[in-house]
Amino acid sequence: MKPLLKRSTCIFGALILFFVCSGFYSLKKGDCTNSQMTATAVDQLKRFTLIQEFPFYMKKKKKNDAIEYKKQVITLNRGVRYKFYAVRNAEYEGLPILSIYNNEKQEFLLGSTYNPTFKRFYNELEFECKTTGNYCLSFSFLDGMEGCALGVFSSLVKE
Amino acid sequence: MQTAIKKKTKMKKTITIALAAFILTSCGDSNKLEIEAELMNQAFDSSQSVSISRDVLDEMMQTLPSPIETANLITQSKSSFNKDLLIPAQNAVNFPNKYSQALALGGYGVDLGYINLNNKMLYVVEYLESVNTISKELKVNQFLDFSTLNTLAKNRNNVDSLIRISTENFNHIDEYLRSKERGDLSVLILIGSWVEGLHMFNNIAKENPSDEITKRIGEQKIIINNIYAILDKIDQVAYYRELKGKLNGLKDVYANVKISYVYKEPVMKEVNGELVIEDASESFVELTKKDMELIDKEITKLRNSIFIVYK
Repeated sequence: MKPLLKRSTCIFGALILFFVCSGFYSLKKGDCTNSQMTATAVDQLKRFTLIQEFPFYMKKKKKNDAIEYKKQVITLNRGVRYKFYAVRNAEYEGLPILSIYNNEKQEFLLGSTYNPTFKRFYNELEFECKTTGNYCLSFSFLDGMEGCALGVFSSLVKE
Repeated sequence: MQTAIKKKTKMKKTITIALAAFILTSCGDSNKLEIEAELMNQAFDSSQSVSISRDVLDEMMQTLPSPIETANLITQSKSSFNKDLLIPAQNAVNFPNKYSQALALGGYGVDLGYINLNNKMLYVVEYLESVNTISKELKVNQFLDFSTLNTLAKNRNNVDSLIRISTENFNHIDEYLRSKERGDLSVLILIGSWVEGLHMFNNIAKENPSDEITKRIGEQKIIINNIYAILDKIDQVAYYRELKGKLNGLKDVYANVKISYVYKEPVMKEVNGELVIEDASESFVELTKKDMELIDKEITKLRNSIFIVYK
């Protein structure tokens, strides 16, 4: 019994070490994206120029919890046309929603890739900026499901 | 029999321990690699390193415009191309450390974008060389597709590809620096591009004054505040403290600039099944002629101190 216990302890220890050393513990949000998603994101750019990608991952929300959001403040320039969209990792159930607000405090919603009234998703949203300033992008998944996506922020250069 | 079981158990235990030891050794190797990488990073500048977390820095960086955005705004101002506005291409070899090289990379990035967007292919190769020289110094030249860009630069029909590839290359450099925990150098690239852009705006305003360009210059108050917010987080490093000091004059002038904002509900349209939002909000910028002159004086001083370096 005693050697068996010791052996289990050793195996358990080895497994812990394996997970720690393999970087399992450091699996971060966003590490779920893959090259296929990046390729899709690039294809969808069309006339636009990529400014930044935002990988985002969220766990499934617990029953009584509020839906989790990831915020990102960005600066937009007056007179520039921007395009925002999210490329989904199909291995996860969550359908990504990308919304844009007029400032860091998220005072007014300017638009979203999801219209809850009609339960309708848009592939992308274009934004014709008229006021230079800090805006806020918000990322989430429909109904707080577990999801992984790549948010894309692009602008139209040389219209 | 019992001895045989004991031997077998002992052997399995030995194998398990050996496995653990092997993993531990691998772990040690990976740690060693990390330390080596860290040392390599320190080699950028041995003095100090920033203590801000990567996530926070990544988030804050999004509030600074990219070189291509800046170049695009300058081109939109419809002013005629002026080569005198560019940082002298031959200066690329003069930047003494990683910090000044990162700033210069941003400055040259805007210059290259400005050249491309104005179809001035004659100067592309010269400025590509400058970008390449600095990229080598910064050890990020592996992300610069120099030969493709050079080939594209020989034909004026390739402007779109030139813009796309050079923007992708800049994005890869930025990603690499951030992955190596040197996001602070990415910040400097963006600050450098902003300084070069603001300097260009001011010169355009002097040649062809208009309400549009004045408003654009006044709006830069938002960006200088964003730059300050980042520098505040990393100013434990002497270079960033000094840079903040150099920006003080400009920040003080911008304190006089007033920006007000009126929110109006945006217009939403569906175009080919996709959502198009037209912003209806307005912003008002109050900026006097004297403020403009002071901004010009301060940005020229700042720009000359960081880009016009002679060995």
